[in-house]
Amino acid sequence: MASKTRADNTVNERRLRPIYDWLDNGNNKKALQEADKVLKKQPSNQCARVLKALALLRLGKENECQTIMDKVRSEIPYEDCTLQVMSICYRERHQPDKISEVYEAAVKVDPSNEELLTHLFMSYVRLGDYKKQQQTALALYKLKPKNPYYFWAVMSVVMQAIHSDRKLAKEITLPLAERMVLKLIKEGKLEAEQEVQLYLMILELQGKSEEMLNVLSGPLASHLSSVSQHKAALLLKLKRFPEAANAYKELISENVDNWTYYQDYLLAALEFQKPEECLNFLSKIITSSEKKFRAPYLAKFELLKLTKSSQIIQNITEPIDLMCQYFSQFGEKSCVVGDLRLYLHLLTPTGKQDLIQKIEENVGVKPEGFPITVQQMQRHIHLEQLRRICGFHHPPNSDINKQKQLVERLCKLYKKGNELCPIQDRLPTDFCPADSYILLATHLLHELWCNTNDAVYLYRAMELLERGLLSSPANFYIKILLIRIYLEAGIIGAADHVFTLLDVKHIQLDSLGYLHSPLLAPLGHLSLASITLDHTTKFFIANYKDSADHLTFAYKYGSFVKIQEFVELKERLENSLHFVMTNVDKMLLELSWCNSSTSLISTLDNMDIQLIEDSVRLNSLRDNRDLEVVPGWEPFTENGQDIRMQEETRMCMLRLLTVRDLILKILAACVAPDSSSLLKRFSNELKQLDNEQIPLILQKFESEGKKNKSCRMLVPMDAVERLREAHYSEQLQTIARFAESLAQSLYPDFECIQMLRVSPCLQTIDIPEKRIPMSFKHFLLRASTCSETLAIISAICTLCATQLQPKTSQKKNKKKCNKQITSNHSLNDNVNDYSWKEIAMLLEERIQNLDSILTEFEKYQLHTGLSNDEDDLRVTIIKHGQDSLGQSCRSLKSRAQITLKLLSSLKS
Amino acid sequence: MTTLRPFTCNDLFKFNNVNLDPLTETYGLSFYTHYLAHWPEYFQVAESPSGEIMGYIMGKAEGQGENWHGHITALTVSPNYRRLGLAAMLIEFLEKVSEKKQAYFVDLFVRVSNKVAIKMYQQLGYIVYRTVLEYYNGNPDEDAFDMRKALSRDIKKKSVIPLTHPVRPEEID
Repeated sequence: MASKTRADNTVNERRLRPIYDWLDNGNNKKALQEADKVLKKQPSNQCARVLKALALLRLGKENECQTIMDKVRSEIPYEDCTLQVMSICYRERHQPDKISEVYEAAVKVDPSNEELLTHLFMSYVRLGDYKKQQQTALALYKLKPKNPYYFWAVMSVVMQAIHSDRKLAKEITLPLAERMVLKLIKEGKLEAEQEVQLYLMILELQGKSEEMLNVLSGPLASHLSSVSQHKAALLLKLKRFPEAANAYKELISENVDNWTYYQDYLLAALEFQKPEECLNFLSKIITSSEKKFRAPYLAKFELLKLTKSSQIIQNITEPIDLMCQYFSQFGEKSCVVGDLRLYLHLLTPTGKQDLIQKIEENVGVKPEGFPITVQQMQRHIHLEQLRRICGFHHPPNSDINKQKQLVERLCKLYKKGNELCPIQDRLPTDFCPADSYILLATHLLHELWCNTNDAVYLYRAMELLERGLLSSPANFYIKILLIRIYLEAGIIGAADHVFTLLDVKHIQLDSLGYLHSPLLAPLGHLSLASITLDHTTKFFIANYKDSADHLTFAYKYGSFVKIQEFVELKERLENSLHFVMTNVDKMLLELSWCNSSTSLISTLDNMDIQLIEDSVRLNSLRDNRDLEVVPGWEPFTENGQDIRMQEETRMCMLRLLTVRDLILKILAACVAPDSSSLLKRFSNELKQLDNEQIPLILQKFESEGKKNKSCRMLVPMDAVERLREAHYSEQLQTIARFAESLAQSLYPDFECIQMLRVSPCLQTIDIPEKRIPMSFKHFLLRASTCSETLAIISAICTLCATQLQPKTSQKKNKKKCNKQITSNHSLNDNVNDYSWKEIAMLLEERIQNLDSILTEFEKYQLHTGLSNDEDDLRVTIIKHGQDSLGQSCRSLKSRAQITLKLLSSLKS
Repeated sequence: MTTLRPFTCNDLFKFNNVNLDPLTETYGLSFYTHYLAHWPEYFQVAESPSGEIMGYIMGKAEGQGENWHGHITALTVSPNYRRLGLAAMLIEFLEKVSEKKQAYFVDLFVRVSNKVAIKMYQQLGYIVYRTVLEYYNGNPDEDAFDMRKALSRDIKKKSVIPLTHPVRPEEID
């Protein structure tokens, strides 16, 4: 019997193999044919049927797939191969709950099948159903008493504790998990490091540090690595300071350069020792180690920081001298700046001046002189970076003239420095050591641009950075600043080109996407925007499918410490603010690209926009941007504000997301059953945001009447610029008022048409001045807003007008019943038609204006203001710029033409 | 001076100042999570006092019998933190973990053109065990050195007797 089944299986496998192969190769059509061939001979073969369903699914035939799946499911399949394919199907259809259901049914048929139970367990892991995980793991352990199954159950209990309220966890769930582990310890069955780690995790979650220490000192510790480190941390936590200090001293002696050991040593030691004793210990480490390690030196600063307010240390050298000493020891290493930066606040303003002066002497480059070796140049660069951090590049220390001189000086230093390390002497993958001079110069040029509004500084920076990139193609810091400078000038095409040089992919699309993709459409590159937004959403969607796999692996390998981490990673990606924003931008872009009411309605239908519940879960959204990657040496702010304004820019992103989501909802509401009340609600919300919250957040980026205070390149510009544009162009207000008026009367009233007539968001601003260097950012932002708003208003009109049509015809059918009403209606219809026509004409006129302005702008000759001797690069920059501006014009014009087409149907 | 600690998922969002370097490949998410799930102790990150990622090492333990060994999958240091001995420190950590697991040796693959790295590995006690032909895809394909260092369990240092002939990628076990 058994041999017969096996023979059957082999026959079955041989027949099905080609279907699997075609599916793996992505040839779903062939897979379908092959499946049909098998099914001709064996129409009831379950595995072949679900393989056919999978092929159909991948061919986009969801309904046919569903029919087959439902039929097979009703037969309660329990064969592994069938169930596996069904799982794939359900996963691809985002129905992980169905996987659990089919395995539940199968397990009922064959309750002693270990494999089926394991799959069932993993299906609950995908769902995050911790309670059922626990039950299934215990059932598995009962069937086969293997340790991993037992600890799956324990971990499932821990996950219940982590995701339940604290009281319940503390009183019931965690003690249960602990008892479960203790039971196995008593039986002497603990065998793996991960199991002991899980035990420690359970104790830690309960705050049982004492017990943890016991475990680490007992026999179970033999399973663990880095025990002494763990012990030291616990001693510190338990406030057993002398023991902790000794433990850390021990650790330091084994690993002289591990920074955390010093930090924790000082925390412990200062609780019972005099600072002098700590200082002695550190000095001893320095004198006794053969190599020059940075950690003990830096620990002296840490000691000063920790004791700053409480007591004065006897016999310690001034911090300035210590810092000078540090610089003279490690001045060549680029980490020296970051290290000292942490402790510069220990110095007074004059102290900083003294420090800089002393370091200047140490470096030995005269004010007009140049470094003569690469080492000296590195020290000099670090000095210049420290000078910037100490505020020497900023007012009041440097006014505009001084900043200009400084730029010239840095450029000369770069030129000479580049000669010290010619490109042929370097690995192409190494940075040119002189690059930092141009990064510093770029920051200054950017400030000059912000403070004078003279775009020549932007072109100067482009030239510098492009030149730098030629000699140092691996330097991604140059690329990041170059992207920013091109964006400031409105030359989005060039920014995009540099962004591709960064080769950003996978998770970087989330953490670095903010550098350029949100501005592609607002600066006019619509098709590029569409491709980029698509690419980004694909990463997130693919990850959404895979993210549960990580979790199942963690259980499989018993890496319990990583499980909660994976759950958090999943949440972080699914709730990525950048992802949600990308999605909304993508949908609005698609909707603004429809040329008929049919395509508008079908596009909307495909989007499945949620009108009732809040589609954007604002509170749970995560800001995954990596802002630290932009290089900068900004001075400290007085009140400890974040110089990168992460929180403020995040708020801008949130507001922008909310208002753009509302615009999306307004569009969807036009065709919804209770359109009037929905339009009213959404327009009110939009109005309120535009009147109240948005001005408040924008204020944080303004100062002294200037709308653009953030002259720091470190502050991300995307959301701020876009929100500012949406607000000041009155785009939000215009759309809100338009929707509001439609909510009241089902057709646009006189007042509303008047409002459209004067609204600045439907008109371009002046073409930038000719024959001088200019930034095109504001011109393009407005042109894009104008084209987008025209498309959206036209779409709203078209949708509302088409909604009215069927109603009118219905009413016409009732003509016989009530003549009077009918006549009233036709009167209304006429007024209606008239106002739609009037609006259509107004919008058409605006589109024609936009078109002619853009046509004129296409002839614009770009000027860089750079002198002739930088000829080669000037040509490249002009070419990039000209191409990009041309592309923006063409792209915006073609959207205008599409909108025009949409309007023609409204007129008739 | 550094803090060495296990790599966590959150580090994936801030490792850009390391990964934007053209020599460092950014892989799909599942590559990292697979290593984190399977060999979490082999995935360590070096962090600066200001909390910046300076570099990281990824590795695994695999093989049967006397082939049970630690493997360095990826090792990378940010351009800002080169020449500080970080790579040596990360490798030393991986060797320690492999010792604890009673592995016989540690091995790694490196492009034959990457002279800087090869020299560094040699200084740390690694020898070229064999050449793997056309191991790296590209135009043209590039050979790899399979470099090894014996651990204490391999008393007779049998694992580091170099092969005389190069092998093909499909012959690697």
